[in-house]
Amino acid sequence: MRAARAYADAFARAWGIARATPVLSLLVVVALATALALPLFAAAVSEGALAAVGRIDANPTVSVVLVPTSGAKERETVERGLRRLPGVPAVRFIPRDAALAQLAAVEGMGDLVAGLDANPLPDTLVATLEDGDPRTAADVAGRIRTTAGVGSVQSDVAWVARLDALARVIRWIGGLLAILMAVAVVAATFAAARLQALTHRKSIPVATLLGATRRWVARPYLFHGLLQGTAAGLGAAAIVAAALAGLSWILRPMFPALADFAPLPGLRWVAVAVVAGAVLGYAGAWLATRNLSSRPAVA
Amino acid sequence: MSATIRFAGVTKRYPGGHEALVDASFALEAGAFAYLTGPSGAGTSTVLKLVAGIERPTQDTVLVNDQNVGRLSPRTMPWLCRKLGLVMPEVALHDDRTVGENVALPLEIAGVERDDAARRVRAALDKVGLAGRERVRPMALSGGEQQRVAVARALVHRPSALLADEPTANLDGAAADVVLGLFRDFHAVGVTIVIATHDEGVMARHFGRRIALERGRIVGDVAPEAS
Repeated sequence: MRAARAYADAFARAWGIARATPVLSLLVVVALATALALPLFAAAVSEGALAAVGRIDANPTVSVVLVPTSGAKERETVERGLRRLPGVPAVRFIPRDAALAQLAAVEGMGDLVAGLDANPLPDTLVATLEDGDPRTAADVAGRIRTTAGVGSVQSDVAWVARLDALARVIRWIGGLLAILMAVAVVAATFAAARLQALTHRKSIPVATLLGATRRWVARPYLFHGLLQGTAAGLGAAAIVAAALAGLSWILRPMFPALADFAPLPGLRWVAVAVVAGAVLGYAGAWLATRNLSSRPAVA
Repeated sequence: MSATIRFAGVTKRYPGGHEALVDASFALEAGAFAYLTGPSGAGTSTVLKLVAGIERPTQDTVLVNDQNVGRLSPRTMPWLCRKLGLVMPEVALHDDRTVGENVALPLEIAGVERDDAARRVRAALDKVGLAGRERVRPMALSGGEQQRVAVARALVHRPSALLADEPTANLDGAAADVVLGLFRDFHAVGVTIVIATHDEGVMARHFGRRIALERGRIVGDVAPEAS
């Protein structure tokens, strides 16, 4: 009960510190929130991109375009060759007439297709791959390319791999930012707590002479750091939510499919931001107060 | 409830070589009432600082309740401080706290329940003649009133020893008698009282053992019966 009262009193004194220095406390929260928001934003974007890659990777394919002069016999040969290759569970044939019909169905393309004298599209065989590994796609493409009747081979795996690599780079940068910003958050909280402790440099020795322990002296600053970090975590989540909403708003007219690739931060992200802010805020204050003397000055 | 204080050949030398106390030996039994007296620079304040742990002896030991104050660790020092009531310039009032908050500070530090603390603060201020001044800032009080707030703060947590450095310096005769009467009341219930003063009037009206110092040396030690 006494311990609970001590903690409650320390929280009250921490709140007192915030009230005594409202502008400094607020500026520190803003600085911490900004620092926490950067890695959080990078993490949200990279996770969204990786999730998008995962969705695309569900049916990775290699498209084999047949030469216009190829006949049914050559098509069957190519199709058999594809089915025999490892990592190709299914092959689908898209006749050139069906491809033209699909093109004509696309909004705005009907008139263009209607104006054509002849169907310029080739017959195509689409091989579905077992996995999104670019090496599998390259192997399939390399083996089938030399078969008679094959005009060209295209793989959608390559750009997916590039997107995947880009997402991993963003994640790596986010990790680096997280480390750098963690140091910045600790440094900012350290400086603020030290400054606030300095403003009480006369009263701390008095409290010590009245029997205050080192914990009693330091605890309000630690809790103040904790409160600042928690508020900064919530602020960071709000900044990231605003940034992602803005990104989605910019992408939506041009790339509707990508507009929602990085969803607004969920409870998990908010929790990560708040816990990270609280831990880092506490750590900074701890560093700032660990040298606060609990003994009277001795000659 | 009361504390014993023993000095055994204690010397305190400051950086630069000034000797504030030289080979001082005396013992105050539990519940003693003693004055430390002497001209300015005699070393009376140094004795109080050594007991409170504000200073450490250069040579030999200061024992409070048989604990060597100079060797107490930072962890154990606060527990000694909580047994002491200090009225000293080093324990100034906090300007950013009200009178009530200042007096409540030792109770807050000791973790006394808030309602109990408020009741004890009111009682302490009442005893020093400052009832109803809880919400005032110390800066709004006169020097004498501030001194009485310091006395209330020193006694509110019922210490086992009270160390007071010139507690009547800013008080008129009547107020000084109120404060000394208060010290007497606490002495009557066993609290050890040590007062550094050169106020002959106070010492004449309120008997106590007199330990006289000059240039850091004890030059007289007179028991109350003989004074």
